[in-house]
Amino acid sequence: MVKNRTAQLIFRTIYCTLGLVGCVASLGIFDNVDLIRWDFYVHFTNISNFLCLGVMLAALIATAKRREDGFVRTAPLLKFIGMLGIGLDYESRTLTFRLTDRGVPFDPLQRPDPDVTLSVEDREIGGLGIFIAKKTMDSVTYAFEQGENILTMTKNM
Amino acid sequence: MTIEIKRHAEEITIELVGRLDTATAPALDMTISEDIADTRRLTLDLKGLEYISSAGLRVLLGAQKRTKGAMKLIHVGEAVMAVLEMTGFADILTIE
Repeated sequence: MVKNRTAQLIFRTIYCTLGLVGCVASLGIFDNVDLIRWDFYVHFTNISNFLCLGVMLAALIATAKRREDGFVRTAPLLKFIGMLGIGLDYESRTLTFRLTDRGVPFDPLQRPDPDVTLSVEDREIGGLGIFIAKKTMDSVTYAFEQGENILTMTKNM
Repeated sequence: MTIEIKRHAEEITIELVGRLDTATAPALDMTISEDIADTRRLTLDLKGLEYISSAGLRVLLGAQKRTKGAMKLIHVGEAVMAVLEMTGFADILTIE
């Protein structure tokens, strides 16, 4: 997937970190905070905040499994709580993030986009995280398959 | 993120430095809702703010409602401005 050693290290750090965030979120801790649960999708750029966690997860990195389709899955132990896979397709220059969890079916994309033209009195607080993710990513799709919520996002590089 | 409060008579300026995201937004929300709950003239100086997430936007909108529109943002950087424009906040907040 990634040949360069440094790049490999960086990618491992990224997917491990995001994996942890995904795991924590999928435990349902943030479920009552409608914003936070999906907010971390737009935090892919905040890698530096999580670098220390990446180090802590070194053991998980070592057991990360790469599958044939180019997606990396975290350790089997975490399989039942939540996963995040990152795939990099050099040919189409596309970075793909796929997040899965085994929680109740929930399609975040069904939430209507906030009306960004309303006045301040009429605008409701919240709902912007998903909206920003949709705007920032080149595609965001959701599927529920075999008991898993699967959210896939792609970003053209 | 650091939050610095400066008071000049009735007017309060809050300087934000760092990243306003899910981790730091609650602190700002608490500051605005508790420490300076009575103010009607609030200025947020965003010169040192490098990033804002939707959690940060939530706090800004809450502050705007709380101050009944008497809040203004100054020194908004490029990255933050892009997010404000994307979400329509650039139109509803007072930006100088």
